[in-house]
Amino acid sequence: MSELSGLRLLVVEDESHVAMLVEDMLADMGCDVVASAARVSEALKLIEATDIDAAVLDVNVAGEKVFPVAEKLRDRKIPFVFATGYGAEGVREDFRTYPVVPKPFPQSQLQKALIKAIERW
Amino acid sequence: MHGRPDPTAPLDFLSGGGCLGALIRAHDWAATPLGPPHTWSQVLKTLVSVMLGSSQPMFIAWGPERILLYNDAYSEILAQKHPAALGQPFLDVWDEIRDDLIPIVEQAYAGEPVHMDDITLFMMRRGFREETHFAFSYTPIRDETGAVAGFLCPCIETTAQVMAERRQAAEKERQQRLFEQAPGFITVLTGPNHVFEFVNQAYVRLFGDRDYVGRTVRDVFPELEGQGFFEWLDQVYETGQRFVANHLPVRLQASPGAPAKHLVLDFIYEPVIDEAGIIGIFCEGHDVTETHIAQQALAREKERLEILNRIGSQLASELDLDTLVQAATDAGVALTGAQFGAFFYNVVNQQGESYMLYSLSGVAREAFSRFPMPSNTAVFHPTFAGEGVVRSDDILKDPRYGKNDPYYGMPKGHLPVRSYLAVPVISRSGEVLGGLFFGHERPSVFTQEHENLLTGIAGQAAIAIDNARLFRASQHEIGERRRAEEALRDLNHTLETRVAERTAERDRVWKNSRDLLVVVDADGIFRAVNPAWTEILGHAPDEVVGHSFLDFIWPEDAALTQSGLDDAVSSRDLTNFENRYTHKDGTPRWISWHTSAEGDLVYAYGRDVTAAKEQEEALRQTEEALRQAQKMEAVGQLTGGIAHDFNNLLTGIVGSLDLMQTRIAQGRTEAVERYAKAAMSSAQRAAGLTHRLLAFARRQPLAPRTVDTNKLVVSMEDLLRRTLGEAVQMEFVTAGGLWLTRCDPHQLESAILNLAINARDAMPDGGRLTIETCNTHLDHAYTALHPGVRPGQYVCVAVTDTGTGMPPEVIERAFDPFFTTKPLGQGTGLGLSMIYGFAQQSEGHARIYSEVGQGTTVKIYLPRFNGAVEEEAETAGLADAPRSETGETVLVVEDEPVVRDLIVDVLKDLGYRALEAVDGPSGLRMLQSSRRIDLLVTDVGLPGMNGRQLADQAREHRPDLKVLFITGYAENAAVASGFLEQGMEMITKPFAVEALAIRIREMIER
Repeated sequence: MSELSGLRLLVVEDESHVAMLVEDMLADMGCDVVASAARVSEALKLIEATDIDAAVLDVNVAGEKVFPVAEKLRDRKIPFVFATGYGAEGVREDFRTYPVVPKPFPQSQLQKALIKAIERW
Repeated sequence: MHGRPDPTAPLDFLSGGGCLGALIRAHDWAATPLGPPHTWSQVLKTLVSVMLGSSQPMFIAWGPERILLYNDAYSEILAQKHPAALGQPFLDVWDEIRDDLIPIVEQAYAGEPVHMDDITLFMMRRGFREETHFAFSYTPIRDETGAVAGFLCPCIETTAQVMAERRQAAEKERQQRLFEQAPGFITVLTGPNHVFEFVNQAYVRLFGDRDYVGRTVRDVFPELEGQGFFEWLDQVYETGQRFVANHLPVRLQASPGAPAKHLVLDFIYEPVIDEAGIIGIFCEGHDVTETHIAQQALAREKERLEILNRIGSQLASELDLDTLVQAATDAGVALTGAQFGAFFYNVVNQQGESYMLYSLSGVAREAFSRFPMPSNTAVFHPTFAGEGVVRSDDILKDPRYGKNDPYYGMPKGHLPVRSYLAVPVISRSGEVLGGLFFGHERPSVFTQEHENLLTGIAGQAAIAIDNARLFRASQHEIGERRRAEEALRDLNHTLETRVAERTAERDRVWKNSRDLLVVVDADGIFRAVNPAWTEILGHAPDEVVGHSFLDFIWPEDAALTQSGLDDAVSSRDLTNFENRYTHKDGTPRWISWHTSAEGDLVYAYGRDVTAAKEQEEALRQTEEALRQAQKMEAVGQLTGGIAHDFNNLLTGIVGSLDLMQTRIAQGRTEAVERYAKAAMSSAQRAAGLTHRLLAFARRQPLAPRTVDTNKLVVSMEDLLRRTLGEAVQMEFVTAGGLWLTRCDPHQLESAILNLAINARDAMPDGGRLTIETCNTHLDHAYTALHPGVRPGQYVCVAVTDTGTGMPPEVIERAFDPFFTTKPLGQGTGLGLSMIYGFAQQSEGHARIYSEVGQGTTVKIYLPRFNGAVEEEAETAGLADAPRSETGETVLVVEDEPVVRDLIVDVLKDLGYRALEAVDGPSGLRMLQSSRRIDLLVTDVGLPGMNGRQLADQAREHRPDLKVLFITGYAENAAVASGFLEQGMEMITKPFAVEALAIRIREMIER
C-alpha cells in the first residue's frame, strides 16, 4: 500500500487490453478505479456523474484528442496524468507542465507520475 | 207557288243568253212542272237572266222537282248530257252521282248554303265514267213566300287542275325516290339560308345522322365554318351560277372534341330556279377520299422511284467512295427532312465493335468528333448486324436505348436525337458495309415512306460501294502491274551504270561509316573490318583481321556471342543483338549488331550503344531511386500513424511483463498466465505490423508476379485503417471472378497506399474511401483517345474518395513528377507520377476522374494475365511445412552463429540433413568434396569470399548446384536483377521459418 491507497480514479483509454493492464496496476497501488471510458464524450459525462480524485488519460482516444477532458479536470482542480504513445511532444502546449507517462511504461513509472500529480495540488 | 202562267207576260229575261238562251226560249216548258216561262216567278226569271248573262258555269235547280236550268258554260260540263238535260230533274240528269248529290241538294233546299272547294264526282257525260273535280256553291233561293224554291249553283270544274297537280306530285315522288337511292350524295336546300329540304341515304351515310330537314347548313355543319362551303353556297344562291368542286378536302367533326374526319369530295351546287327566280340549291356529289389517297400514293411512289432512279444513276456513275457515300447521306437528309445524317463504316475488329464515321450531312463534323465512335450498343446492333431498319418515333423511349456503358445513352453534349432512323447498307456478298443514320430533335418525324425511301437508297449505295471497291481494287492492281513493268524496264536499262555506282558507293560507305562493318567467317575469324573499328574499339583494322572475335570480346559475353554467331551462320539473321567488346584501353563497349549471312560468311553491322546503355542504366537507377524515395515518403506517413499503435502494443507487452514480475514476487502465479497471454498477443500484433512495414519499405527491383488483386487489396485493409484514421470510412467493393494480372505486388500495394494517403489528405473533415476492383475491357474507341494504351482486357483498381476533388488543370498535371498541391514539406509530388509510371511499366494505364467538391477517383488498369496464380509462400504454418523423407542434404554457410544455429535447427526439425560452415572457404571445401549436397544456403554478406563468389566457384564443380541466398535489407540494393542465374534464388531477412522451409522444399524438388 502507498499514499495512493483509497484514491478514486478515472481511466480514459480506448485500447481495451491497455485499459485492463492500467486498471490492474492501479488496483495494485491500492487505488479504486471508479470509472473507465474508451471515448472522449463518455469521459466528459463520467466526470459530471462520478466523484473522482484523479485520472489517467490516454492522449489519442479513438482518433480524438483527450484535451477537452483535461480542460474539464483542470477546471475542477482534479489531478491527472497523461499516458501517451507520442511522447511529451504529443501533449498540447498548455498541458506540458502536467506529468506525462510515455508508453510503454512499467507500473512504477505510472505510480511516480500519479504521486507527482497529486503533490502538485 | 206555281201560279198560272201568264202568256202575255214578256219573255225579255230570256233574251240573249247564247245557245242556252235560245234553247230555253224554244223549250216546251209547259210540259214541265215549271210551266211556261211567262208564268215563272219573278225570282226565277231574275235568276235565269243572271245565269244566262254569266260566263261562269252556272245552273239553277228549281221547284220541288229540282228542274235543271243552265247556261252555255255549264253545257260544257254536261258534255253529252246537253242539251237533253235542260228542263230535266237535276238528280235525274246526274243519276250516276245521285247518292253523292242528294245530301247537299237537300241541305240547300233546307235553306243552308253549300260550299265545296273540291268535290270528286265520277260522271258519265261523254259515254264513259270519268273522275271529275269541282269547286262550287249552292245558294238556296226563296220565293215570294219565303220558302226555298230552288238553288243557284255557280261552279268551276277543276278536274284538269287536280289531274295536273296529281301528276306533278307523282313526278316529284318518283324523283325523290330516285334521289333517295342514288349512289352519290344528294341534298336539296331551300332559301337564302340554305335550309335542308331533302337529304338522301348516301348523304346521311357520309355526313352522319344529323337531323337535317328544316335546319340550315350553318346550323347542321358548324365545323365547316372557314372551309369555304358556306361562301360557295351563298355565291351560288346570289348569282345563279353553278359551282363545281373536284377533289376538295373537307374536315368534319360530329361534335366539338370528337375525332375529326377528313374526306375528299367531288360535288356540284346547282341553283334551283323557278318562275320566281332562285329558290334553292341542289347538291349532288361523290366521296372520292379513297381514290384521292390512292392517287396521292401513286404520285408519291412515282416521285420516290424517280428520286431513287436519279440517286441510283448518280451513285452508279460515282467511283469515288467518299463522294458517293456523301451523296447517299445528303440524299437521305434531303428526303427525310432529318436534321442530320451520317454514314458509319463497319470496321469489324476482334471485338466486332468499331465504326468509323465516314460521311456527315446537315451538321458540322466537330459536332461528332468530340465523341468516341459508337460502340456496339443494343440500339446500333440491329443495324450493324444487318438485321433490318430501326425506325423510332422517340429513341429515348425505345427499350433498347441507354443500356450501355459508359454513357447509358448519348454522351453529354451530343446532338439531341428523338426521331431516329437507321438503315443497314448491305453488300451483295451479305457483308454489312455500314449504316445510314438519321436523326431529328423532334419526335415522330420519320414515316414509313421515309423508311421505304431510305431502304432503296441503302440498296443503291451498297451496289455503288461494291462497284467503287471493285474499281479501286482493279485500279490498284493495274497500277501495281504498271509500276512493276516500269521498274523492270528501268532496271534493265540502268543495271550496268548502277553496278558501277553502287560499288563506288559501297566503298565510300565502308570507309566513312561511323558504325562497325565487319565480315566474319563461321569460325569467328574476322575477314574484314572497316576503319570505324579504330574509332570505336581502338585497334587498327590489320590488328583485327585474321583474329578470332574471342580475342576482342568482353569475357562475360563470350558464350553469348558464340551462340549468336552460330545462329547468324545458320542463316538466322540477328537484329539488335547486343554484346560487349573490349576497347584497346581495357574498358567494355556495348555494340548492337545486325547481321546477314552469305555462304560461310556473316556480314555484320554494329553500332556503338555504350552511351545509350549507360543512360538507360542511369535512368533506371534514377527511377529506382525515385520509386524508393516515394515509398519511404509513404513509410514516413505510415510511421506517424503507427507509432501510437505500436507504443500501445508495447505497453501491452511491457505492462504485462511488469505485472508478471510483481505477481511472481507476490507468489500469485495464477495470474501470470493471463499476463503472458496478453503480452504474447500484443507482441504478435506488433510483429505483424513491423513485418508489413518492412515488406513495404524493402528496396527491390520491379518483380512482376501473378497477382490476385482482390486478395492483395483485402490484405491491406488493416494497414489502411491505421493509416486513414477513424474519420475516414472505408469500403471495399471487390468483383467476383476477378481476372489475374501480372505486376509487382509491392508496387501495387505502394500505389494503393499512396492513393489512400492522398484521399485522406483530400478529406480533412473525414469522408468515405472506396476501393473497388473490376474486370474491364478497353476498346479501340477508348485507346484511340489515349495513345499508348493497348486495347484488351484489364483488371481495374479504382480508389475513390469523397474529398475536395481537383479542377481540370490540376488533373491534367497530376501525373507530372514533382507536381504537388500539398504544402511544402508535406509531399514530394511523386505519388501519382510513380503510380502512372508503375502502371505503364506493367503495360497498364492510369486515369484520374475528379470534380471539385465531389471527390476523386483514380483508376489503375493492369493487363489481364491468362494463367494460374503462383502459390503464396507464406501461407502454411511450420507444422504444415513439408518434411524430408529422402534425406536431402542442405549446406548452410553463415558467419552469424545465432542465425546459423536457427537455420540448422529449423532444417533438422523439418527432417533435412544439415551441414554447417562458418565462412566461404570452409563451405567451398565441402562443396568440392563428393558429399551429397542438394542445396547451398548461404548468406550473401560473408566476410572475405562473399556468398556470390562461393556459389560461382562451387558451380565449377557442381554446375547444377542450387543456391539459396540469404540477404539482409542493406545488401539488397546491390542485388539488382540479373544477379541471379538459373537455379539460384534469394530470401530476404527477416523471414518466417515456414517460408524458408517451403522455399527449400520447392528448390530441391524442382
